[in-house]
Amino acid sequence: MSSTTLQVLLSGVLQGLLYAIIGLGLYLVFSVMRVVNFAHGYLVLVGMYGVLRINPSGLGQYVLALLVVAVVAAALGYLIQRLLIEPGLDKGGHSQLVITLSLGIIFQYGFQIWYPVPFGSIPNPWPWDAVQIGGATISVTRIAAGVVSILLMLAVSYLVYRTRAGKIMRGCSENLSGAVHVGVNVLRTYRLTFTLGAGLAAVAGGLLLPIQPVSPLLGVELTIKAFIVVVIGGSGALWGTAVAGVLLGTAEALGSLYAPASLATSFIYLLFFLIILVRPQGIVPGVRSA
Amino acid sequence: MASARIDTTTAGSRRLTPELAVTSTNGLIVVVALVVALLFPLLVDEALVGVGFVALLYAYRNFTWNIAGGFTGLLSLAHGAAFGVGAFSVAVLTWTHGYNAWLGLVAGVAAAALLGFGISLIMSRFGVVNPFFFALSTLAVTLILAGIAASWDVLGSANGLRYTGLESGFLHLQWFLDPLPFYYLTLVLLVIVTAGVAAMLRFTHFGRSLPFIREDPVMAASMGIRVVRNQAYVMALSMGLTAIAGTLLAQYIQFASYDSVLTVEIAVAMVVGTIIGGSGTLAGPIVAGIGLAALEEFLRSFEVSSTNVSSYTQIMYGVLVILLLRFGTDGVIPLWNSGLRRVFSRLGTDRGGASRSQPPPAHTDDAGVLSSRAGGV
Repeated sequence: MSSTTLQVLLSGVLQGLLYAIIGLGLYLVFSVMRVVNFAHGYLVLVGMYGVLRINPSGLGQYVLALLVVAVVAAALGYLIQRLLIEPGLDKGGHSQLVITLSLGIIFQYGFQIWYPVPFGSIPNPWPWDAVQIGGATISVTRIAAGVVSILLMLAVSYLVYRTRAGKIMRGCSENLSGAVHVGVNVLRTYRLTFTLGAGLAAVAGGLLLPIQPVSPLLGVELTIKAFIVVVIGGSGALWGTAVAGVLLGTAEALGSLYAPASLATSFIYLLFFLIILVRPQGIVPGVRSA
Repeated sequence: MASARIDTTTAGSRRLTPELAVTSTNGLIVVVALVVALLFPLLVDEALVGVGFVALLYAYRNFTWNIAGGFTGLLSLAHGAAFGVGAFSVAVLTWTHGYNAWLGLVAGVAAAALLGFGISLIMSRFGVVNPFFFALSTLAVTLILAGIAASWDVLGSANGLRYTGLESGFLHLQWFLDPLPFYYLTLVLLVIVTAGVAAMLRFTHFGRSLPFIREDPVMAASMGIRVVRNQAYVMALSMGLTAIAGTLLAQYIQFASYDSVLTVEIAVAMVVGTIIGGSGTLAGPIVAGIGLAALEEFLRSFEVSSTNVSSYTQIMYGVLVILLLRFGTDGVIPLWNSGLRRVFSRLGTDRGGASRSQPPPAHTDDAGVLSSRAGGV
């Protein structure tokens, strides 16, 4: 394996870990509430633009900036859930779909007006430069983003599989009427989940910013990628989402070796349709009660 | 449709009167609107005829989306791709290779229909169509085609394709920026398609199955309706018809590029326009298309840079749609109809019967509107 291929593969895997985190937020909301938040990619952009706005110098400020955007996005997510999604939950999918779609539009053009200069980014906030692995040079921003992503994933799995709140979330996901019958406060669980998903998205955005310059058009792309991660990952377990994210990142990196970026993205989406044809239930099929 | 009939029979013949009044009022409005639409280009100057053409194109575009999105409940964002397929079909076949423009149009319709058919079948792999999965996957379709158009030279890549021919006239579907023929062509198209779809919804088994599929696909399937097949057909029909709008716009502006005719924004505009007007109604998408085109033109008259105008209008549409959905209305046309119904039932029953004007619940109303509209528009 040549060092370029290795380099591309490794960056793909690390990028994929970020996709996994973004997808994880969407997955939690989808599996608990049966709502695919169309504006999810734009919540990632909230994180990216937020960190860009704070423009941190040095690691301390960067970490602080990540915390700030996480809190801001979580608060935003809470408001979206309370004011826009909750009132339409009993009306079936179309209403939330169109509401979150419109929200995405508002975000996209809002960012366009707020930040007319595209492709803003920040310099490497970490105190190291780059790492040599078998002849491949990997920037430390990617490695750090990957490591933080893994830690976040572990934290989320701990929350979902080992805590009471997580048990309630899984209960709502597996059997909603059962959860209602045993006295689960469903609305509160929904709010918690949505808030968590939004916070995760913003942190992922903050981690992505030093790697990839931000533009308003990125939002729709990230929504789609998160969605792909969720579908390919399947609805059975969290690790499916992580694996799907890494697969997506790797496929994208490999595609970019052979084609210009826009074509590589098209190729990834095409691949997604092929996978749906073969395995619509994803890597980990869910045990769904109707 | 059935619900409206039940409504009139159970409530007796007295309730028929306000219903009939609503229908005839709407019928009258349709006739007046048609006459105005026919005379409009003769009364205003050329620039406004161009606006009129764009307005009709929006109306037509929304209407074709509504066939799948409104009547059948398939919230598709692949219609942006269908629009682009129509535009690029005429751009490649006619502008680059010199085939007749009508051939380009037909090829675009066929390609878009095939695309819609295929997508719908792939989506059926998810089992019962999940609106979220459907919307996001169809969004990916538009992005795929946009990505290909952005990097493939045959489709103009970054520079786009231009019409450089000299022929004009009906045979070549080209009038060199003269909006008048385009205006009437779109008007005729809109009337034919509207009448055709109205008839299809009312008189064919296929058409009547569509609202059923939207409301309850599982029940529809258990009643022997071939849900997957009908969904695939309706996506093919809807996207094929959308392609014509793409062809017409490309012929009018004589330009096609990935960021002008094949964008997610076009797909979103169709969704938003239809929902503001009233999705699942015949008149809603048309009214909203014309209204939004007029609004855009009005905003453009202010002294703001054009990119900002489109940003602000998009944000406004987003807010408008969220408000509409949040406060539980179904759009302009359903609001108008229930308003009219209330007025007429109050006028018709002065003897203290006003309390009887029970507005039917949202979903039955939808079907009722559909049937009363089918008589009118």
